[in-house]
Amino acid sequence: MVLLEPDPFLSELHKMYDRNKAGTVWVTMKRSNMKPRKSKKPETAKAEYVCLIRANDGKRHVSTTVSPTQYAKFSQSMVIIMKGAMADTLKKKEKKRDK
Amino acid sequence: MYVDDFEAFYLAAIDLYKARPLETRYTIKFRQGKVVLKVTDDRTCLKFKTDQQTDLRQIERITAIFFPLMACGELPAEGEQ
Repeated sequence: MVLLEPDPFLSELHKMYDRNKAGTVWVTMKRSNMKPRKSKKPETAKAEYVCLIRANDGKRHVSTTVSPTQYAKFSQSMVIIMKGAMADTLKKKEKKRDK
Repeated sequence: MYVDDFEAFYLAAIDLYKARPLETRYTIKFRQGKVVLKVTDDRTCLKFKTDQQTDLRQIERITAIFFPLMACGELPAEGEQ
């Protein structure tokens, strides 16, 4: 598992979707404190929750963490990448069921 | 468990997350022509499956809500060491 900075993660994610046009890609998000094994300052540990994001295509794993200050920009970029990858292959038939 | 109605899935998913913020994960599985969203805390598992392009907007919406929830959501009351 490679822990990347948010920006390299996004480009890896993009590549992963590109490589797996016929395969499967999983993206998992969870809340985590990423706590180090031995913490010398237990008081500060409280506030250090971040959003952990992992991407996996069955062969490679990449992951990143997004802090409360970064998530807005990151979430936008990630949604754009995902939509770009998904839009072409999903069916266009409109069922008029949204809204 | 698959939920057919997105609105029901959306609300149930958020409730599930709020009950156990640290144990709940959200997965977007994408395979050509098909997307499966899964939210689980290892006790309850909610899934939503679609192959319609129009549902992309909904996927975008739920993903956008989980980011703030997971990046700066409320801290769990009992989750201290």
